[in-house]
Amino acid sequence: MPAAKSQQGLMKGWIINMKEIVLTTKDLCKSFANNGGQNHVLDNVNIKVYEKDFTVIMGASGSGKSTLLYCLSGMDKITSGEVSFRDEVISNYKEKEMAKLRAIKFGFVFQQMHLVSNLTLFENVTVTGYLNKQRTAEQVKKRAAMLFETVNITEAKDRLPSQVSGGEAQRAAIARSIISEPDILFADEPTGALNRKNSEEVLNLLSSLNMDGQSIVMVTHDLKAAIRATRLLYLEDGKITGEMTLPPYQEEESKSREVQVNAWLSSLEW
Amino acid sequence: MERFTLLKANIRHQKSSFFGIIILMFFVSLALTTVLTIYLNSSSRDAQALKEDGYGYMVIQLFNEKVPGGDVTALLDKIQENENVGSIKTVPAVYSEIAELNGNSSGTVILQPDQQECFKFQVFNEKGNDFLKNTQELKQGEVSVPISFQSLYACKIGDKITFKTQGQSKEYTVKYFMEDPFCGSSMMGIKNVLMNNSDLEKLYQQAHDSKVITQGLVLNIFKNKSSDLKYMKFERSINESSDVGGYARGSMGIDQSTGYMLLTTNIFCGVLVSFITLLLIVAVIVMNHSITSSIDLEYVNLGILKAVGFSQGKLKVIFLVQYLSSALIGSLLGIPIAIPIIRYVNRLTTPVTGLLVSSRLAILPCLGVIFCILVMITLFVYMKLRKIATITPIQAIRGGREGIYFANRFEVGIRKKGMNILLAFRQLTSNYKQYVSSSIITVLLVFFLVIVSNMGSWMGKDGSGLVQLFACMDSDMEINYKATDIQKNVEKIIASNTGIKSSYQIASSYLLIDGCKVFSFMCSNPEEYNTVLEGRTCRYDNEILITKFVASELKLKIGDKVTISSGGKKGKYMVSGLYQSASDLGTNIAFSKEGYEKLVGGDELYYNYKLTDSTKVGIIMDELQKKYGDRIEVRTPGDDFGGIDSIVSAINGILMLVYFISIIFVIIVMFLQCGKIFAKERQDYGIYKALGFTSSSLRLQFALRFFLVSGISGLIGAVVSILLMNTCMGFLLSFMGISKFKGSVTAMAVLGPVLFMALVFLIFSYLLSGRIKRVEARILISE
Repeated sequence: MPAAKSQQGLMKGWIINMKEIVLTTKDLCKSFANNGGQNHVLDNVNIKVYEKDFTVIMGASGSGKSTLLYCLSGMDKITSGEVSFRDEVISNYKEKEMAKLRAIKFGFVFQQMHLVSNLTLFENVTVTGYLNKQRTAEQVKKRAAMLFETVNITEAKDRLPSQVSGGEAQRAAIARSIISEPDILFADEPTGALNRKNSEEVLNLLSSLNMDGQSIVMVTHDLKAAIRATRLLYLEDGKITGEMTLPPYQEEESKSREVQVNAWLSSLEW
Repeated sequence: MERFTLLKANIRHQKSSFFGIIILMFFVSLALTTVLTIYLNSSSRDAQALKEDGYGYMVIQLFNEKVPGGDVTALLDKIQENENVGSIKTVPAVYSEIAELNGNSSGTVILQPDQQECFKFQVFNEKGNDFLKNTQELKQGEVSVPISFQSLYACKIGDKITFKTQGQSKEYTVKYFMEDPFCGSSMMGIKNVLMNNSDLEKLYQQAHDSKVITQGLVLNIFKNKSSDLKYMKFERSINESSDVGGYARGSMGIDQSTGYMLLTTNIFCGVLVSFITLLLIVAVIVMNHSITSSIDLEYVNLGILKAVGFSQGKLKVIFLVQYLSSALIGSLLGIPIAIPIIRYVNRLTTPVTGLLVSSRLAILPCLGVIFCILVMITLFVYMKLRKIATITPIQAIRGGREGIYFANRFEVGIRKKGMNILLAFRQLTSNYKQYVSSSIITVLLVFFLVIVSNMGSWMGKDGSGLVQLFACMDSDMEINYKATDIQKNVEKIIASNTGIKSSYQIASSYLLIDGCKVFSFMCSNPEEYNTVLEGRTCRYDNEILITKFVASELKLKIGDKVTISSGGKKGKYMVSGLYQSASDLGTNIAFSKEGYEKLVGGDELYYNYKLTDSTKVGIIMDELQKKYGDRIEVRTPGDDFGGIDSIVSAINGILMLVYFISIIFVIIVMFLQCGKIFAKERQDYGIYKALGFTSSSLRLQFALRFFLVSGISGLIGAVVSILLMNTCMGFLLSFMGISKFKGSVTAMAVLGPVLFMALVFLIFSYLLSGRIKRVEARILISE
């Protein structure tokens, strides 16, 4: 069985190698100052993120998975190494260039949603879209309306974040993250603050987006979220110590995927 | 000890608030100490100088030739016999006018002998900041003039001055500047000048022509110690027993003279005290905002402290000590720093007030006022701290209060075009309470700035607005025809330059109304009196107009009859109306020509001209002077008011000061407020940055918020100012005898301050938003 699995993995790995690389890191290190010393959170991490993949980063609590996500997305500065987006090194971008990248090429979904509290859900989405100078206001509004239909929160579009449920807010946050059709969607524990039902809805949405070709990089410790991945990376002590590929998610296969992923995680002593 | 620890921690954590309040209170204390010291020291100096120089209770300027039979001794005996009179001192005098001093040729003078027993004037040193201990007697050809000549005529020691005399004028050299506490201010129309005794004797002998130079006597009357009469009744009593008022050029009590002497000081102190009150209100508003924000931001910490055993009383005391200590430190720092400023202001104002005012701090009154202010602040802070009682430990455990935004009816949708300003407006409307203090401060500052700016505009660069207050008729030019046959030709010359809108005769003199000396106007066309407030003008020969001050002093109303006398002639007149004029601080009346000539005959008449084009006045005056020389005297209404330039400069100075202090206060308010807002909105900035907004666009949004707040508030302040302009100006000018003010508002004087404040807020909020650059999206990480 392991051999078959690894053969499958190899096959899939070969298939993966055919996909375009969207994001790469080279000897990525991230350290924090800590009471006079240094805390090395990421230690020479070398990874590739492929187009149209649903890449999930897992690891124990405090392993640096969110830090890795933020370094990949340019939200945090790296200590050393390189992060490249489509062969262009972005880790040394100035603030303005990074802002442009975040506005057009990257989308972000936070665990705590982080919607702007005095804008309606619809305005939270359109304001982000307006930053894309290549789109007219009408195009942005039209796309926002379409996204609201897709994520099924049209009725709540004129409410403030404080007036909607966690699930609705997170779905609005997802709509916000893809308003400009970004190349990559980053998600940091998007179901961490949600109940089971809302979590399921959000994960279905993300899977659906990935099926439509959206590249996603997600951090989670939730097995039910992890099984949505087409590629899993395991982070331990600041290094990638495990990698697994899966076929595209189908609901009827969720149980078997859970078993597979669980076994993989167990082998990594998660 | 625990309280001290918390206090230190609070101050450390809220440094900007602590130091902001210190700076605000520093400026309040500095300004208050300066104004209070100058006001009190000016009053006490004038009183002290009047006593030291030998002034009695009343001074009368007598024309010898008007005394019946020339028997001055008999007149003096009659005055002395009055039971209210203690003693009289006299000094011979010559009444004249300045013929030439640095290009000026106006100003009435009372020439007195240098060596005399009646008055002893102090003499200034070269710098004008102290008195000379030993002065030499004036030699022949030397004069001692009031120090206000420096501001009135740009006079220096050594300048040459000539007076109008019979025949050839003699030049005198200004040897000393002296302090005259009775009429030495630049605001007063007559000045004492000392000259060598033998010089004066010569002039005295020549003084026969009452139109140019007149012999006279200055009577220095001391009140009997047992008399308790107020001045007006005292004057009436003397006039009734001796009729001396009818023979005098003028008379004045020392209280009245003090009012004139300190007029400029009192008006400017009044304006500045209003501004200081405003600054104090601003400081209290800032403190209010600081307390509220601190409690909001420290909500969780306060709950935790309560949970570990701190009572609300202990917590209140800590906050109280924190705010009170910053107010106290600022207040105390301002006091000594005021000393050099007081010295500087006194140096500037000595040539205006004519007094050497002490720069010593009026420490007790200042400390008293500051103490009262601190007590008021203590009560205010204590009231605001009642909020602490509402905090519970359980709220702290649950993470404090969430900032929740609710929909606001003023919300405008966010569009791509103008997104920054729309987001700024949204941030404003969704949390407007945190801008209330900035709004109120802007309203107050703009209110004051608009009033002072309009005061400057109304006054005009040449002070013509102020001059108008003294006149009760419109006038561009006044001409005295010394030759009788030239009037028609003069009017032709005027007409060749511009049209003559109106022309009428005018005169003025001092008359007695019910025994009290008042300044009187005469106009041959009474309809020209354009400041009638109630009733109607004095059309007939038995009617007069009086001011509200005269009405109030003499308890008169429209329809009452009064007796007016002059030089032995008397007449009964009815009050036909109330009008206003600032002459003699509002103590004046007005006649028709017929009514006036029943009492005063042979007076010098001037012809008043109102022109179609006032700008031609200068050209016309030059032309007339060249053609007619001594046969004509041409002047403008402003020529009698030598102190106008100094008042205009002082108003402009106050305006600059107010703008400067406004900037300082805005910076401090912005510093305090931006810090608090930033702490609250830090996460929002992280979100926006995560979405792709740049620091500069976030900073612009931040600055636009304050631009909008200050713009809207500034407009409110401007509107309130326009509505209350006449009331405020009327109150201020009531010191000058004006009971009703009606000014116009200029667009520049209104919009200028509004725009100024909006730009100041915009610039400083943008500068202070620099910390947005340091916010990174990583603050959103919740690992």
